[in-house]
Amino acid sequence: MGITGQRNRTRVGAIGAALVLTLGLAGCGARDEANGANDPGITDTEVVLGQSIPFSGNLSIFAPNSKAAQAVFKRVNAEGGVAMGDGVTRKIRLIALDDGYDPSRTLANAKKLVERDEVFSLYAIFGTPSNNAIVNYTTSKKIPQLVSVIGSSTFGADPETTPYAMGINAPYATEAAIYAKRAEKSNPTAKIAVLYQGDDQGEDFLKGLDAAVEGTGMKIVAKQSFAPTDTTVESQVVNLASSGADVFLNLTTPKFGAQAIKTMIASDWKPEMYLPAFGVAVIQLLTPAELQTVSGIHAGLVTRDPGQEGWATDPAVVDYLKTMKEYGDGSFDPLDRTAIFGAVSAQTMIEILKGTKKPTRAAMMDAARSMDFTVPMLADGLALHTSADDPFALEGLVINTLVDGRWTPDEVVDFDGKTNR
Amino acid sequence: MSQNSGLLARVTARGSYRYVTVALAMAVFFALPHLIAPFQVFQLTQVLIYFLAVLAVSYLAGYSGQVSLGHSVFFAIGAYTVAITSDRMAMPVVVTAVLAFVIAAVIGAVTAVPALFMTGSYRVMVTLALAVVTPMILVRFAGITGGSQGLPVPPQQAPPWTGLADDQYVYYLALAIVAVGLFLIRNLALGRLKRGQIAVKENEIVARSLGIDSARLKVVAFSASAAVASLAGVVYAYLVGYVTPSGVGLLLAVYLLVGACVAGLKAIHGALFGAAFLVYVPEYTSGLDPSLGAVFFGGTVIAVALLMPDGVTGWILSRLKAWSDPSSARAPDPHRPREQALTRVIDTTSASAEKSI
Repeated sequence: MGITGQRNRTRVGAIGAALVLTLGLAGCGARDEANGANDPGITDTEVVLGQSIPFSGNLSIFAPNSKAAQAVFKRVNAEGGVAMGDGVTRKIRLIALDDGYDPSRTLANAKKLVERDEVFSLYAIFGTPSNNAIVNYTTSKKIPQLVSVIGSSTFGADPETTPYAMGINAPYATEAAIYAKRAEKSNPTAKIAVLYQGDDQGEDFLKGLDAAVEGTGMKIVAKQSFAPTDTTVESQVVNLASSGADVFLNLTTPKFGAQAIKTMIASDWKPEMYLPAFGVAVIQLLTPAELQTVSGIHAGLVTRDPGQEGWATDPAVVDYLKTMKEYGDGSFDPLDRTAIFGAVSAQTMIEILKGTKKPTRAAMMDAARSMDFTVPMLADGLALHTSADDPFALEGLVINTLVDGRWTPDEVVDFDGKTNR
Repeated sequence: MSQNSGLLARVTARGSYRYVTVALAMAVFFALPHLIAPFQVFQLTQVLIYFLAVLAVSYLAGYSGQVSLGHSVFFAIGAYTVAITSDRMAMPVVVTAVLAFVIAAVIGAVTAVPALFMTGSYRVMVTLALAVVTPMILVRFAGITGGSQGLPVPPQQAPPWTGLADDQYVYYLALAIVAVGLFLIRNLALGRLKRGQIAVKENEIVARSLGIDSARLKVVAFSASAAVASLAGVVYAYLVGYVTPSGVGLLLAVYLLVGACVAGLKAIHGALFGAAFLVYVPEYTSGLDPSLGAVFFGGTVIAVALLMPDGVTGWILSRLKAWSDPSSARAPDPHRPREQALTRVIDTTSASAEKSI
């Protein structure tokens, strides 16, 4: 009895003490938000950018995007820095953190970059879920979330609700619409078969294709999906071939693309084929005989292609390879398309900084919302264009055709301002 | 123990110190969000989330002898309950949390029943299978779950009367939910079911011969553990504001088990060390080199497993004990065998696998 009583008294006392402490602390109220006159992350000598990208996990194959960008920025810094629109030349410092493609880690990284590292702007955040996970945060904090690598046509689509978020690459839906338009030109009553990856990327493609085909004489007659973990897509392609389609959208990465083409040849199916921008390297996986058989297939390209013969003397490509060799960390292949796109992203950021007329985030957004330029590693004929009501920077592709085993530029299709949101 | 006058002995002998400790811990946890930067509040909330989930896993392994490689499933149930309901209607946090809790408890029980007919590693494989199929199911039912794109969760805004910033509000929300989960697990682990559970864990055949309903105990433990893991998922959804299949995949299940092993399987409050490990160590290692961060993290896990076989909590306790009572360090008490967290997981599975053969 005595012990119990003593214990109870201690317990009551302890809890009481905790409550008093708590109330006292709660009385302190919310912390004061720091609100200085100058935007953080920019001085007269330096501008700090922050990136979150998968350096680990399944999607770490995209890490060269960041590494190539580091090389581009290092090169600019070595040459003195970037002459920004306010007349001050600044060096660029990019802080890149790993999120393993886990949106909760992207959000943690974004908060760290903004609050601890005090970056001026976020740069090239990678992936749909990752960008979506932080957009509320960047909007409420008024942090530019620029050059985001995201193929979703809804991200940043409404400048009213997300004034600080913008992507760089053509939304997948727009890419699909471009292929549909091109297919319609050669055959207005085309029967289309689609092979797509069963994830957000594939679904976005499909959504864009459905919208583009609607109201035309064309028809989607067969759809087959695959998982990135599948070992083969043979059965899917056999199914598609049996549909009698005369246009084949082979929306795959090179490994599956090559399998699909081999199956196509084996089953004697000869549709007009389109490959997406991320699948063009497929020709490196085919034999000369196979290349000859499928001659005439199409692919959409966004960047210059240092990996292909004939580009070796292109000044932009020469400069790119030199930059990667001298300033890269040697841990990635400069011919990797992810690295090439990383360079395009970095070059785009440099142009945005050149157009930023005051050292403020608002001025940077003004520059990002009035892009009208091209960058060296972008494919010939393409440009980055934005306006107050068009947030999508890249909305075009260069349709290439396979001639004599090489991609040959055929037609520039630009859907600028026409992305279906 | 009775003849020595070590500090630890005095502390544990007098329950009053425990309440002081609890009160101090409460005060610290209440005060912290006012003293640190917002991104640190975010990290601390992540620690609370992992604490709850690690607690669920370590209770199940340490007190009920059931190893689960599938707790990411229940975490996903919590997170998606929040996302799916708030996508359609605005519901108070309490209602959503209770809903997730009930769903996870039922699914946990349903999962545990067929697993009863299996032993050891086979049972672990059932839970592993659950963890593997979860992301696929989430992608398959895209109409409800948002597919691989995931679902956004509207940001939680602090009611004006609290005077709190939004991140502080979510932190206190997490703290309250953690308190509920901790209370539940503590009562299950140390309460009425304690002896029955330990008997079943140590030797199920003997326990059954003594009239203990081992099946019921196991199902109850699994169901409760699942429900608590779902609460962690609920807080996760409110904190991150976005749920995707990739965030609740197999990797999460493995992380939780790593957290449990680092903490020590029988360490209830010690799960906090496991949770802090999962939040701060990857952050530190990826700061060393972004590309090699995961490798360093793996190395750290191995180092902890080798150097602190009882988990961090066990290591701290043994240090404290050695410091306050040097004699006990030389002559370990035969009645308190060392709880070796990692080897215990392996023992539990392999021993019952042997039995099944």
